[in-house]
Amino acid sequence: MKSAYSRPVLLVLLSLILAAAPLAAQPASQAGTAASTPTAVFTQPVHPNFQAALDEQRPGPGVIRIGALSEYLPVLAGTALDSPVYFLDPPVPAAALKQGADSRQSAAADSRLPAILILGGTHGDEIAGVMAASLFVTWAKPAAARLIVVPRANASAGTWSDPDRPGPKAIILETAEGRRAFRYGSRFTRSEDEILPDPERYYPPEAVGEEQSLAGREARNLNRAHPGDEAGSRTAQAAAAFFNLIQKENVKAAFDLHEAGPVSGLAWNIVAHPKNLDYAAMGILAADERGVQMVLDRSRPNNRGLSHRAWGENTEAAAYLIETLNPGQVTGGKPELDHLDNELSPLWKRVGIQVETVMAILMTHSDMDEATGWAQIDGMPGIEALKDDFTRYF
Amino acid sequence: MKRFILICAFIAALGASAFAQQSTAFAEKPALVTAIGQSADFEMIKVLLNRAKVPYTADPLVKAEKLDGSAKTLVLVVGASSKGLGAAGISAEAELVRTQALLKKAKELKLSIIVMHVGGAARRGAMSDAFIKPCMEAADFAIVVAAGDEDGLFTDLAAKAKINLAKVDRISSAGAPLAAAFK
Repeated sequence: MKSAYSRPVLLVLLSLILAAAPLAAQPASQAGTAASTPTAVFTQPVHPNFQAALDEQRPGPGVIRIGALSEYLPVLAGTALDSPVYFLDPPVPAAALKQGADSRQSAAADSRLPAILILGGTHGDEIAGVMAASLFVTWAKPAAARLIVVPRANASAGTWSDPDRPGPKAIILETAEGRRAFRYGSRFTRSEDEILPDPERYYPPEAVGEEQSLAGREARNLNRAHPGDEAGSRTAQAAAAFFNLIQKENVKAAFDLHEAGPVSGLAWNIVAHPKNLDYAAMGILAADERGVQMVLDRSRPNNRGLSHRAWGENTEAAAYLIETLNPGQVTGGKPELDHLDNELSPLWKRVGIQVETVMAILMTHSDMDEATGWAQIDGMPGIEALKDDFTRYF
Repeated sequence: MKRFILICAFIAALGASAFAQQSTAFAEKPALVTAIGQSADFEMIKVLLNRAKVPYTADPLVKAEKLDGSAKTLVLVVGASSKGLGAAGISAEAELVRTQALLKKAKELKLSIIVMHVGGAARRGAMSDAFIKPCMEAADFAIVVAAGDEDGLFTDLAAKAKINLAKVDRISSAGAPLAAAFK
């Protein structure tokens, strides 16, 4: 698709906006603490979906750079599946600063540092995952690792409503810095954003036999496309880009934030690859001590195309998928549902549990791994803070 | 009259306490921990045993013939997971047969049996309950996260089996009674 934002003058304008936006939009409580201004370097035109994902974020002082998913698969540049990638770096040791290193840029360049990856919006209607990832963009301060956040992992899925399961147009928050909207999207890439038609039956990567085939439209489900195919559909290319990112950026722990409906058995689950199941178990216990109850589930060999299976099997990353309960995920949808103050599963709880669970698992990595403390992240609001004043943290 | 009420209250409290907590350590080390129903809750009990410094071996699919008396206590992490059963390549029926054989052999070897149910409501239902009942009938002690006993199933089964039941609010609280059960 030809981008409406392909002219050089708009690129310059975008760069200026991106350079200014993080400081202008950062939460008042953090204003003035940024070490330097994040820079966005886009050498390719950006798609309106990319711009929409960008507009949704309020990068905080931890963000050193805003990049693009297409950096890991150039064919995605300018397409509907390219998406902003937020890089948050730890402080550089004092010794490096004495030698004249810029505290932010030198850390960003050091890909030997382990990284943590957080994805929201793999499914655009699983909105608590998008909002939790966005909180990391605004508030997180990694202590020793690099943190990479992609709040809209499927940028296309965030821009349209599935007629089979519609939700509200957006979650609207009236914040102190003005109105903030998180678009309530779809589970799938929009048909018009794909380059291949839906097959009659879709076989996820490494699927064996007819019984592992899925309905054709599942070809547009990012979480049935991992580890991806660089020569495949746009959705498969996006999955391939995430696979490349994990490899290139030395990602040691990867989180894919999801939601599930009331009739699904997946709500309030952590699904972990068997190689890191013990970390998930310890994370659940740590979260439990903070009043967050989750159920542990293990990634299975027939989970073809799912992030936790593909990343866990084929990369060094410990792979986790977190599911909270979205009461709007029912057949026919619930466009009128009040997500913010829902009695069954209010958004503060869903987002809070996403954040708490990620933090608890990272704490376990920090405690148990050889490089003690590597996965510590500071600055994040906990579930109690979100319960008290949800909007404040957005 | 006032003294009588106080004495009655004291006796009632004492009784409730004895029912809720294993008052004396009874289980010998080492332990063998297995998953009855193949849920991943098994992993969390391993963590709790590590924290309690209880030596153990873990085998989610251990069969009766593998019990040789080297382990002195059998820890059963009960709760069905259809996905876990599928991943393990075992049907619910076959899992129940394995469970019953395991319980029979454990009794023959005079092993202590501790039942743990920590998955709350998510690990209840017809399939889970089919595993829970025989395990509770054979158990010496059970530890249950309260959300899994909202209908009183564990309370009733513990009363029938005349065993102590420790009900805890959350998984992380299950470690204390588990540690206390071991000599």
